[in-house]
Amino acid sequence: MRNPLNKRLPRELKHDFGKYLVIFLFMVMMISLVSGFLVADNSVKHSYDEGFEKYNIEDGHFALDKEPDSSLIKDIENKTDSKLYDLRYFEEDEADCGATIRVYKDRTDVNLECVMEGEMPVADNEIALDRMYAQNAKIKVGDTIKLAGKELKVTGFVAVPDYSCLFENNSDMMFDSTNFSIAVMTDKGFENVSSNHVKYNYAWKYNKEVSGDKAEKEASDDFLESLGDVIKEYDTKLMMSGNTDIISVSDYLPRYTNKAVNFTGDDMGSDKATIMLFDYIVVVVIAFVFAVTTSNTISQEAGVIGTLRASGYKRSEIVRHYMVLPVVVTLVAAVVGNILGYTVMEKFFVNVYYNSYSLCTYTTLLNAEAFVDTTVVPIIIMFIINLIVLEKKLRLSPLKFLRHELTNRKKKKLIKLSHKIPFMTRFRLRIMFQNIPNYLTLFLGILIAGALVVFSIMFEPLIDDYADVVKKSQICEYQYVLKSQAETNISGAEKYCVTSLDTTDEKYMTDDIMVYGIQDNSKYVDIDISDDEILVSNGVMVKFGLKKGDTFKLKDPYSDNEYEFTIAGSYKYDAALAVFMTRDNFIDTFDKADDYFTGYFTDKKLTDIDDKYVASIITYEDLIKVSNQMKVSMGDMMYILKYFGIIMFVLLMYLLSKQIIEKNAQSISMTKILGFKNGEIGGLYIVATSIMVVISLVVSVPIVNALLKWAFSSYLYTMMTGYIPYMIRRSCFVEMVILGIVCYAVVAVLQLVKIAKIPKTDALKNVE
Amino acid sequence: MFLEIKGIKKHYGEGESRVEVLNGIDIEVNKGEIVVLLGPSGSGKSTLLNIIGGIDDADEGYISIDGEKTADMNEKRLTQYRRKHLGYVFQMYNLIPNLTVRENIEVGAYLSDKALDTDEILNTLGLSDHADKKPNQLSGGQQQRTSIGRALIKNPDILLCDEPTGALDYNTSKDILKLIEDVNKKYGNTIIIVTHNDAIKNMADRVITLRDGRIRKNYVNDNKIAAADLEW
Repeated sequence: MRNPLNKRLPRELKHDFGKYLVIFLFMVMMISLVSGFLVADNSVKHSYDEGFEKYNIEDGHFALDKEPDSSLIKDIENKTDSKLYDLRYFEEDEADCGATIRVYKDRTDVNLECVMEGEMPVADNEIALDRMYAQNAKIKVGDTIKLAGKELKVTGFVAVPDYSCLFENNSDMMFDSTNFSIAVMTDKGFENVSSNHVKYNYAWKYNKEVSGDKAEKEASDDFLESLGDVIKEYDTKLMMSGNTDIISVSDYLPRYTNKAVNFTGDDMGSDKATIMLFDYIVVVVIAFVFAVTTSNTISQEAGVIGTLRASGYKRSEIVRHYMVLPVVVTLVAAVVGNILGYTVMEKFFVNVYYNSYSLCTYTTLLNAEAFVDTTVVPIIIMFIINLIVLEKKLRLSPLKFLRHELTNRKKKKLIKLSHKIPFMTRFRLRIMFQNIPNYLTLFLGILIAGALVVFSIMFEPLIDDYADVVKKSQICEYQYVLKSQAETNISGAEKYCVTSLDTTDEKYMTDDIMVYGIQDNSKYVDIDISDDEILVSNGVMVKFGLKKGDTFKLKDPYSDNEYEFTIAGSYKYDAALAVFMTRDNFIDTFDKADDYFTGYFTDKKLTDIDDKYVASIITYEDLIKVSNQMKVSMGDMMYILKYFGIIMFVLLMYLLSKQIIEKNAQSISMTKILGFKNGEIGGLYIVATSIMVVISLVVSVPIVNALLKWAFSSYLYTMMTGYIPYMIRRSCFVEMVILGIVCYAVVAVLQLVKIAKIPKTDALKNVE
Repeated sequence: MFLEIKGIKKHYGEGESRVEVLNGIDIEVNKGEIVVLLGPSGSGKSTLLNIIGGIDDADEGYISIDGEKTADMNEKRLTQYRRKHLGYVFQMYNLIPNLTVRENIEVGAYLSDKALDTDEILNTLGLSDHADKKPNQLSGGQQQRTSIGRALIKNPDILLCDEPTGALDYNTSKDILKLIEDVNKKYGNTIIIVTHNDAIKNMADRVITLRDGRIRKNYVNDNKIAAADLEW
């Protein structure tokens, strides 16, 4: 015989439909968001990774200042054991908006184009633009753009794997898809427009496959050396024949250091840390809500449970019975959430990526991790938390259930209240004292929802404040990074050394640490340490939990060299994770020549250094480009989190205050019998709860602050590269409290309606 | 002897607040008997019923049903014991509000592999016309009938009734007592009724009076009268 208790389940669902519906919708929303994100992230990342082979991406490229003859190309190929591909281009400003357009010929062998919309150009006066740029510049297929005085019809939008991120120059700190684009024309069209601005750019692919950063670096070093040898030999021959028009390398960039290729892949998945934190918080909150409501149901049905147990029902049968609905609701929500995740939400998150990067087409992939995180984990959490609560609750003897003695605590003494306190106030205080466990639960709910709300609204002001902090701790107005050493006579310019090392602590993701060698008595970086010590930027201290006297271990990403430094203190520098040491220490540590330097710190432009020696000039605008881009990238995500947090506020307040009203239904009914009006009863129960909501919101503020600080240090910092200091504006907490009050106002109206609906006969009915 | 209650002692509280609820109870009950446990509030009659029912434990002594002792049983075995031998009827009906009368009775049937026919029970209890109603659509008497049906359908060896008429009016109480009497006749269950209503003793085969945790009277009722003829 099937357990007749099962027949209760659909009726229970129908009876408490509102409760189950809001929990269900909330879970569907959460699961579809997380599932959509994980599926989109995985699918796009997979297509990006796959694109290296699919579109036959280069192993690197170099440019020559003159057009080489075929024999030189042949020699380079032979000497470097690679194949070269002609990827010449010219650059022109687009007439209408001034953006730089880098035009290539149609690619047939390497770095192949992926047509995202429209068609490839066929006629000589046609052009295909980068999709991302066209979107930003609001150019449509069929429009005409003017380039080098010629009108060209836009036939389509493309993405190419060597520009998945639109970095114009590899030395740029941040990409710029508004003012830079690549484009493709037919060979003839290219020749017609290119005039004299052609850059003789060649992509190479090694004949033998090379993989891994270290191997790529070695292969690239060998390639560069061989390339130099061939060019030198070629030039020598030229000069010996009396031709002084020698050829030289004007650009060299192996793929593994090419930001336009790698930035997208490195950046993808960085939001994963945020979304997973969000996922786990929400699952725990929902499990917590279910546990509270189940616990309340057990209290309400104590007599029935006692009778069933006395009649011979096993505890496990009762546990199973109460477990079914939470688990089934979670399961169905997971199924619906995943369906929405794979359809609607996946597209949303894919758009987030496609609004930042010039990605090729992708295919949606089934994602086992998303399934585990959005289906298996919530069900397990729901199962375990409910099992713990039910096992604990149902451990009591049948007799205790029959007597409604559901706690082992002895009855508390009545708290005395002065008769001078007005009656209604005393009544409210009694309600508060009577419902302390419920209010504690409500407080916990408000705390978690509040944390989510603050988390979702803190980033925008945080990034603004971060930009200010960066400004304050900026080393100098212009930080010159040189390609090769060049001297300056501009006063105030100060030489420095810099290199980049990787962190080794496996608890964290691998971070790039900028290691600076600062000259003695520097006017830009005030360090006073001995030659065997280092200062670390404050971010290093905070992120990696280091302190003075600790050892900081770093390694060279392209060799087996490891370095251990003793920390002498921290240096206020927020633009990056950095290490500062004396220049002598730097030269000694990295085995450089005594006069070695990498660039200049200066507050004036170094006008006497030829541009060809300058790799990049880092200014404040460059430093905050990172935070600005972060704001753009995180914008959509935080927007979702904010509204999700608000909905969670309403949901938790609704469910938990509903519990209080339902628990007190008999008392409310009795006060109605005594002659209290609905408004007066609302004034008693709603005002009491309102006071507790406001107190909870205010008390939550310092706790949320501590909670988020902990989340930053123990979770976010381990899941993301780079560093952003933990700073929350007070206005975020003010907003949280106001939002909480507004949300409760909505809930209070619903509860007033609920109070009005409680019949007077409830007070006279059997408890069950 | 079908039901043997031997040397049962039970106390609540400790120190100054220690109360001896049962102070050495010895009772023997034959199969098929109706036993009425009488006594004022606090006399220990409900506690004794709960110990017989295996939902409370004694400090000393044992309960034996058909030679099976409950004293050394763990919770699992006690549950099996209740499942196999006992049916419970309480003053509060404790029906499941979102199940119909029929389904509430089936809740009991699920526990037994020798369950009686649900329609027959509904008929016996006079609930056939109300089978598809929810408990809140029934009168108190009908609800108590349903709870008796739930206990009875698994055809228990012993039906334990704790103040079954405590919440009912005179006529409904008599209906319920008559029903219990009919059930006893029809199915031959041993029935133990706890009550403070002195009149009910007249329908019993055996009357046991408790006061201050001790048996004051324990006798076979030679002047048994039908439940329908009870007066109070």
